Amino acid sequence: MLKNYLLIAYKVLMRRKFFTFISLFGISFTLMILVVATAFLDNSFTPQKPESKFDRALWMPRWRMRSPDGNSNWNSSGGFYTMDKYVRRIVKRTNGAVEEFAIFSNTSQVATFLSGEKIEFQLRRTEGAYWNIVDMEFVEGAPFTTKDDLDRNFVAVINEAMRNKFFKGEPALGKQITFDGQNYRIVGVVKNVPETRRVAFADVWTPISTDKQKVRKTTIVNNSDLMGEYECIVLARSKEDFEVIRDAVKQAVSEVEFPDPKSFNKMETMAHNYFSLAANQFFFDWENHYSQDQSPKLFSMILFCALFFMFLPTINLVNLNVSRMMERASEIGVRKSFGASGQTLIAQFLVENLVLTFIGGIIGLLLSVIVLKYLNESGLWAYSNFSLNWRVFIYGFLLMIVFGVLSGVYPAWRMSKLNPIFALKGATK
Amino acid sequence: MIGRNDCKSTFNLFEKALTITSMIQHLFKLVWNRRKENLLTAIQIFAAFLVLSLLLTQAVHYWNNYRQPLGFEYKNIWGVVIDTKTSQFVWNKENREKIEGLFREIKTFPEVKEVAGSMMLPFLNWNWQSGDSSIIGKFLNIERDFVTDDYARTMGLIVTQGEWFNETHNAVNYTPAVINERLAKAYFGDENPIGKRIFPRFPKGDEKSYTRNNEVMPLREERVVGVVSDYRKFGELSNPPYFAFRRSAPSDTLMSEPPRAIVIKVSETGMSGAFEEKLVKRLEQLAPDWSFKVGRLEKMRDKQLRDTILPLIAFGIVGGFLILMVALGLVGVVWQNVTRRTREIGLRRAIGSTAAVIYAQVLGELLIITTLSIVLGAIIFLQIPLLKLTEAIDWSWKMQFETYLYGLGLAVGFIYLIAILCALYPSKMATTVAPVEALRYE
Amino acid sequence: MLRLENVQKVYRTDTIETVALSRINLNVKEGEFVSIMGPSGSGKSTLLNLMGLLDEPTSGAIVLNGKAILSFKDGDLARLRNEEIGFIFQTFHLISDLNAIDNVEIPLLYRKMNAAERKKHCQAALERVGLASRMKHFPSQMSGGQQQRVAIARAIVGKPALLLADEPTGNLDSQMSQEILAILKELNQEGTTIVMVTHDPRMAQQTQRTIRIFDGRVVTETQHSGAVA
Repeated sequence: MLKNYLLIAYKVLMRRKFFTFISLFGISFTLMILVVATAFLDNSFTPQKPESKFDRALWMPRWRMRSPDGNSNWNSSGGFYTMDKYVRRIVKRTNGAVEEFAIFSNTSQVATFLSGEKIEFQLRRTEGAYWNIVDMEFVEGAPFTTKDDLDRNFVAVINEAMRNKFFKGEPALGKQITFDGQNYRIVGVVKNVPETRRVAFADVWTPISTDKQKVRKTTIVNNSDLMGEYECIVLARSKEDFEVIRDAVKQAVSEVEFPDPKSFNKMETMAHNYFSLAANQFFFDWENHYSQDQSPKLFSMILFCALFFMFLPTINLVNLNVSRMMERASEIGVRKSFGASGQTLIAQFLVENLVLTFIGGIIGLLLSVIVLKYLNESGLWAYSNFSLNWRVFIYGFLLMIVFGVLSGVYPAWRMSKLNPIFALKGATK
Repeated sequence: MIGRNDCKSTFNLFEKALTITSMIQHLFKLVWNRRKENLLTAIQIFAAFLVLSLLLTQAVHYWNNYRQPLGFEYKNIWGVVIDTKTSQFVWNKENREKIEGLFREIKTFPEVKEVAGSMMLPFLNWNWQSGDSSIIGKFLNIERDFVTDDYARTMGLIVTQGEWFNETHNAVNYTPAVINERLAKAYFGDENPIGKRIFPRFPKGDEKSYTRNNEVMPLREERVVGVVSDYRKFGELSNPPYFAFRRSAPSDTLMSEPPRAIVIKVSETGMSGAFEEKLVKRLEQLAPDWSFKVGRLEKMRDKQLRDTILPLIAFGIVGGFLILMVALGLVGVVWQNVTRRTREIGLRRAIGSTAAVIYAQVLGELLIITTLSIVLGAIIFLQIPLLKLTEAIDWSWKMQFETYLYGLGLAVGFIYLIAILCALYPSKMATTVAPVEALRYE
Repeated sequence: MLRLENVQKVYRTDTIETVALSRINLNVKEGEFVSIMGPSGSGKSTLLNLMGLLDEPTSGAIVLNGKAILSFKDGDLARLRNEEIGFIFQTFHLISDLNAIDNVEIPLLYRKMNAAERKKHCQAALERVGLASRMKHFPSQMSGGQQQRVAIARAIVGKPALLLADEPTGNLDSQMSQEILAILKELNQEGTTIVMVTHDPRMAQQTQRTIRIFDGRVVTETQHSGAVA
């Protein structure tokens, strides 16, 4: 039976090459775009090396201080002082729920000159504990330590791309690089980290204390010292501890003392993952920006977009299939006369459509591999590694089936309802 | 005679109109009778039309922005961002000496033509905004920046009214401001803006002070001294802003801050990497506790343009693909429609009638379906600006209503074009096969 | 075997009611070879469609093997058509994308039968109509007579009790027509009940009984004593 269906499907496809082309074009491009989008979302939002522990991490990238009347807001990354003095309190308060806590700066573009040539790179300053949260792969050496940071040792970890630029790919351990008027000794070289890994990404990492600005302060005089270019991340022992940690963070942040409480008197932050950060930036809710997780909203919106995007190609295919049905009226009539029931015909047509979708899907997958390769090579995102991993592949496969069934069911139903008498006549008159 | 001719031609016209109306009526009947099949086509065109409208509205929006002059130059200019490592940067003696020293030193390079300071560089998405509704009763978001007296010369700003900041403003008892023409028009209409107050905004001036660093500071009035043609610091594709410059000068410690960015106009040879290295080394030498980032404004412009355009290109590719797919699908459906009538076409041609009648019918049907879809699509599309649907999303979608109308108009034209092409191609193909093939077709 | 009781068929459009068949009573006995004649538009095709359970009567009953077919579901009707009835059409209606043996196989596809058995049955049916040598030919590679023989093979492959033929020789020349009729007659002798719609009196002559209909009514019934039996 199935063999017969497949045979018919093959014959039908070969008979009207133009229609097959139109259908395949629609299916393969639709699936290509969906698969590329899925690969992109997967790459952006699921924990991946070197951030594979991030399913139990709470990341606080954005901070806000508010005036007493709530009309004036300072919205940016946070101050080292705030995190060091207040947020760090949660480590002791949560009875071991926190496995690791680290403060690090966001990346900033730095340029330096090496024998007349300009080298630009992204610099991140971190605490020693940062290296226990990300699982970077070291090609040479090892990360700098908390002691390096506290002793203000001018050491740096660089990635392979920088080793190529500075040292033409030769071993870099112990060598010096100079930027911002300071010399740094290289203690480690890591594999390149994609820019899409927001916490792990950088070209060069140095201890926080090496900043020209004195970051570790014991007292502050301005409210603005509570803000700055720092982020922090908490690695929980397990996901179950998230609630405890969130509450502790809330408590710690509420204890922040302001040098000038008339201008600002309230500090806010929110523990994010990449998805919730994107969600809260996309659906910017002024009042609840630091209290409400907009992830469900973004999730439904992505789902809606995907469905809307699939809607048009589906309608297109359905319309094409329905209009082609007339061409096959005779076949349908014969099959009905010889005892095919509505269900059998639906099954036959669905098989045909699924075959078409599969062929289109395979073309689509191949196309997406090419597009992803192109995206990786385009350099739009530094060291990006978009790829068709098994997860994306399964998503793509599911999308394929959904699409095939969606676009096949209605025409098949119409086909099964076709009056055999009319069908037999329709072909002759 | 003439009258009769007139009469006849009028009658002909009338008759023609009548035949056209009855033809259209006939077509409507056909469309209605095949509503089940046509519904799918209609939905398809409807969705394609919505996508096309969105795309073209965006295109119109950005094209309109792109056409307007930038108001300043970016070629042969270096931009330097100073990280002073402090959040409060005021005109004290130390800062003043340091900044003035830097400027003096930069000017000694032979390649340098002009040097000026500002708070922020153009093309980077940093901004300082202030807005209020007290002056004209409508909220205007005003982009602001502190700049030095040399800024207009360095950046090639065009002063159209009044004068740019200069030494004479050291002695005045207000803070001088230069605004762009758009803001002048919005605030003061056809009145002469020179001498008008833009800050404090409160008409009665009941706020005489503000707090800074725990200190209560008196407020100085800010008055317009000049108007520049424009200053679109966010680049060619950005929405034209309302802009107001404030003078950054040590004589006004109350309202102004020292510059935290430097723009350097150089000769052609000054755009080399060698100059950049020389500059950076000198800057780091002069202020070892500060950090400097140096770049070409042209490059910053390219990057910003790229960042704006890339999502548009992605959107365009996806939308364009959807529309191409719908077009191909329509060709397929019409093709099927025509082949199904091939016998009829063959017969008609065999008995001497023209096939054109049937093609006209096929085209007419498709155009009617298209029209219905467009009407529905336009009603729904216009809800976006009417219900302000985009405001829930933090997007650069604040566009004028006319932009939506232009986009819609273009989309209508485009979709009709697609429909006609989609109907013509299969019809043409069918003409070449008929009638022998047509009669054989069974 | 097949009985029509007071069968009426009315086609309705928005404004017009067309009576295609009015109050037909008819009985086809097991093993009979019946022909139906009548001018075009007289309702003979409608009659055949009703007999073949492709259409439902507006009123009246169709009784097949003693069971009244009134409210069967789509699936049941499909099964009945598959097992009890074989169709032969004027324009053959072979599926052009399938070769002879694949075409013949169709009715068996809707039964639970394994491939080997199906193949055996199809070969037998094609041999039966004298096309053993053309099993792999496509419809376009065969003459009209051969195509119709494939169609007959398809109709008989499921061993139906009733064969319905709608002008099976209408598109064929007289020699081929005779060949086809000869096959039908043989099948009838082997016990298959056949109802054939035809225009050709000479064809009708060779059946056992001819029913003439006009304007949706049975006008005359003629027994042909000299025919097969």
